[in-house]
Amino acid sequence: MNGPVLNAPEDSEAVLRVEGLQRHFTLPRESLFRAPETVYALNGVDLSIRRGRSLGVVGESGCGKSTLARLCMALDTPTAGRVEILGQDLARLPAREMRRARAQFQMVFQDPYGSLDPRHTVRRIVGETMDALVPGNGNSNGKSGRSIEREEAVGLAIDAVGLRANDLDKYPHEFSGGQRQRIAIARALVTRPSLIVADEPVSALDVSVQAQVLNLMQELQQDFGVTYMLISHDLGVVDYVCDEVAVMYLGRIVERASRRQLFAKPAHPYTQALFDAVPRIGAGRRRRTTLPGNVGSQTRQAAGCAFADRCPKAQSRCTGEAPELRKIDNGHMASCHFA
Amino acid sequence: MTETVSNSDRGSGQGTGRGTASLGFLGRALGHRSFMIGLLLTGAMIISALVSLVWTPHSPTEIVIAERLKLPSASHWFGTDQFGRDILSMIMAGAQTSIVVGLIAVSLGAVLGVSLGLWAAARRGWTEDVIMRLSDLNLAFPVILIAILLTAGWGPGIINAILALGIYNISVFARQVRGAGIAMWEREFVLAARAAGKGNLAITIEHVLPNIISIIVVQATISFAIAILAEAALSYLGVGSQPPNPSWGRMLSESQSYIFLAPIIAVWPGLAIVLSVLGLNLIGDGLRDLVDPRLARRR
Repeated sequence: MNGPVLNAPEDSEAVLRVEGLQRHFTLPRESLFRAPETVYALNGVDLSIRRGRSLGVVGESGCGKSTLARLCMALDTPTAGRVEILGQDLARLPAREMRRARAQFQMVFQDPYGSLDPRHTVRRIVGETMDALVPGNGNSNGKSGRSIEREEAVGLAIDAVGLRANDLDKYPHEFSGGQRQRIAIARALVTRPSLIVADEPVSALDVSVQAQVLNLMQELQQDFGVTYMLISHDLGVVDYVCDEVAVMYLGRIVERASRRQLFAKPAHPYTQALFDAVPRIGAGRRRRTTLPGNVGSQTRQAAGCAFADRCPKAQSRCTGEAPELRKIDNGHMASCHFA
Repeated sequence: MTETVSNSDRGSGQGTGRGTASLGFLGRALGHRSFMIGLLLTGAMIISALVSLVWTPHSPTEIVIAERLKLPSASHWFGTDQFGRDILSMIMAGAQTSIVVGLIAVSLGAVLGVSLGLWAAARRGWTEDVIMRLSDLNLAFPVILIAILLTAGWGPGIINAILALGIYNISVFARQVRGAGIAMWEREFVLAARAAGKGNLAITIEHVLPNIISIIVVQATISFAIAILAEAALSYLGVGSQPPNPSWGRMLSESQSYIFLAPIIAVWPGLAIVLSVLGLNLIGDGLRDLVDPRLARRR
């Protein structure tokens, strides 16, 4: 669709491939005599998503989900490792080609109140992503053939997400949270990207609206063949939308499986604890197994398994030897010595 | 929101009604009471300055000793000062000085200060450090001192007063804009713009600047008001506008010697300063509301 930069690969090929991705942040120096601390946000993440599929990334706050999303969107530079979209290493793309390449991967943000510029009309917000494809056409008042193309794309996108054409000249504050998220989805959709990364797309919405937005995302996947990476802390959302799930803990993927496998037979103790923590109607007063303690330190790297200090199954081996992410079943991987 | 409240119930006079979406900027401005009062006061200042260019009741510089310190009368509406000059004529001509000083000093400060502030906010790192430390250095010198420094170099005059105020304003705007700009860069819509392939310059112009414009507008009106006051102070010290060129500030400081003899001559320049400063502030407040689309349709 846009020249030689990113050619559509074969169907079986991965739209997104992440290899050995690490991102460490250096904190501001607190003491003159101590080295500044480092936050290990991502410690070697590998994953790939095939065309038209959707991958859910789950984990509690601070596990590196959002950092992963930003790196996949080339909004941040990895400390090590690489991100490939449609076979192109993002770090190797020159700035100009990167601008055009961005048409192929877009993002939906968590907060539909913060992610839309309050000073811009819907037309301008949705059209903004088109500017990368149509250079030198920053304003919507241009009357060139390019801006007609832009107008058409904006109209189609706004229609696809179920908004009306006369919403185009309104401002974000005139919409509800769910409608705003539809605008944000239209913005991500307008360039017909291969990949959309959605960072907690419904967690800021009312439960009744969540389902509408998730349904919309599924419809769009069928209509446009988009690939999703859906980041969420809500297992219900992931169950609803995703084909595959990756569970993250402290910057690592601890389990990776198809949705069915994971929900039927979670292998990693952390995943099991996540499932146990989900409140269910009718579960009565059955006592849940809760994890002791808090999420481990992000500023230290454990020699053994990062989960060992909270794990109910931990043994001496766990603190000394880090488990590899290994295959435990067909298409099911977990990083636990006892899985 | 207020759509459910009918306009006649709202005593504020600011409600130009629902369906204001179709109403233009002008229509909304007309319905904004404090903005209109501000416009009226500032308009009066501008008109008297313009009129004084071609006509004043008496010459603002003509000295008639026999007529000195007269109370207001039919021939001298505001009375006369210690040299028998017509105060109304001096106030009208003094408006010119105030407007010229305020306009140039604020424009100079705003253009350079906003650019530097936006640059610092966009680049962060050492660029920001250099800009902000230079700005601190500039703020460490009081306006008066800068004016005196300039006067030492190029002699006294209104140009130096304007330059001194303008240089001071650069730092004032740079600080404000940098702070507000950094807050904008943290917002998610900036991240979304980067995901759309926008560069720093495009994001600054399309997202950061429009979202902080209200702060700049308010700061400009406040700075304009401060400039009028500072010009008065500088003229008092002899480094501002030079006699016989009329200036509200100098009129005020000269009247100080006659405060017990003829207190009314201090009232006129004082009133002129207060009303024009008030008018500018009301305009600033009004503009902040009017340029904000979130507020625009509620009023």
